[in-house]
Amino acid sequence: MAEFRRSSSLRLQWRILVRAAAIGLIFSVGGAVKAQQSDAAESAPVAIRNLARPGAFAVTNRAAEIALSRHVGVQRLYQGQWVDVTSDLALVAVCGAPAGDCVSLRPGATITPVPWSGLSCGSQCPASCRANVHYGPARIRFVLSVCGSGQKIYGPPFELPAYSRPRSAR
Amino acid sequence: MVVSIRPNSARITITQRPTVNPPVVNGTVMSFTGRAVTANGEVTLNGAAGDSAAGWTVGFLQAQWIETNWCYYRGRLNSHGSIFLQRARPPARPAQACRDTVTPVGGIFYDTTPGTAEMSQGAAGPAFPLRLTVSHFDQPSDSMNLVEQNATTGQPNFLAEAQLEFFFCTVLTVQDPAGGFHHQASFYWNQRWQATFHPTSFAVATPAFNIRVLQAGTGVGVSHIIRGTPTDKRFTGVLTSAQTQSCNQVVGAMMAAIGPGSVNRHEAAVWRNFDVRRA
Repeated sequence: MAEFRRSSSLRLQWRILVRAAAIGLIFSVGGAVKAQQSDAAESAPVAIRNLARPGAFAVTNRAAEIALSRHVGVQRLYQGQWVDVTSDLALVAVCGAPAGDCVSLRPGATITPVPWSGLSCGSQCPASCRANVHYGPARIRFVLSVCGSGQKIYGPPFELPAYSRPRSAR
Repeated sequence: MVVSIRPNSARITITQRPTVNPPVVNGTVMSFTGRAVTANGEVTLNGAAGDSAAGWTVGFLQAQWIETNWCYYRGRLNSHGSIFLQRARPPARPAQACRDTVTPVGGIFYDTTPGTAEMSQGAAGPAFPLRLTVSHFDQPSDSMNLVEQNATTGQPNFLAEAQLEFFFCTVLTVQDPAGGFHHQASFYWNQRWQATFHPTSFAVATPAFNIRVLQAGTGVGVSHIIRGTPTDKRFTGVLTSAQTQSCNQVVGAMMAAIGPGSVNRHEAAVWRNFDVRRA
């Protein structure tokens, strides 16, 4: 009986250990994924930071001088996958400023682009648009490209709200 | 039983009429914007248990069939000259009609981005009748430089007047698994801007203007919903045929084709009155 109790108790302890190990493994795997993402974000030469208003963001260079593609990719989360969407989002701090294909950022420098409106065309500055969609509501992230290497740098996701009807009217 | 489109099941509901805003200065350009047009659409497919709706797609197409787009510039003095930019005629814009798409024009539908509300696709083994719903959104805009350099006089010329008109037809359609299109319903809509601009500052980098909206050339129009296949020959040829450029690309090429030396650019050494019907 004592033997049974001991073995029963051992089995119980073993089960608890197995479950704890499994839970630990899950947490550690989840942690590893998060850590990998975090490591990737932290090891990227440039950090993208979302600002309070959805679509507003800042880009900071935390390594040596770098040239980034002026065009900024936009991705929408759809059925668990990040999907590229059409957008004219660009690293422009002021509308109408002279523009090349790449933007140089000195070490430690930050650029705060004109916020993205959620539109596919004329999304920051005046533009000639005929077809033009709004992507909200959606989970969105921005994608920078390093000029030359083509390395992609992914920003943190944010929630773009649905298109809100402006009050302007005529 | 084979899958088919339920007769008279197509519906379009305009959920927001477009508007136009008065033009405003934004940096170095005059910006013409307005409120979006939005619409919902639905079509029902008939079928029997075991039928597949895979390969059936309901979605919106859009064609632009009129573009008016000109702007007039004047120097500070009569001797500084004037410029007329005719942006909507050949060769800058080879044709009036174009298929208006967000995604590449070869995709036919207005927007083919995965997950877009502009398209809805059937799947295998659905319950029939299958009601497929879609939503449409468009918010056109345009802009033009506040200042153009007159090569004839060597002087800056300032925006004095502009007229923009964009006329569209939006079509609710069904594509069958063989690729054929079955247009169900459509509506016409347009946005129009016309204004004169009177400089209050001739600072070339940061000019300022009194902006006067011309009522007769400003406004919007939205038609009733028209059932059946569009028959308007001004744009039916571009709805689903092979096209090399979307309207956005046509406009992009148009903007690149009005620089110095272009036949769409008319310069004069004085304040000339250009005839917009001929220039």
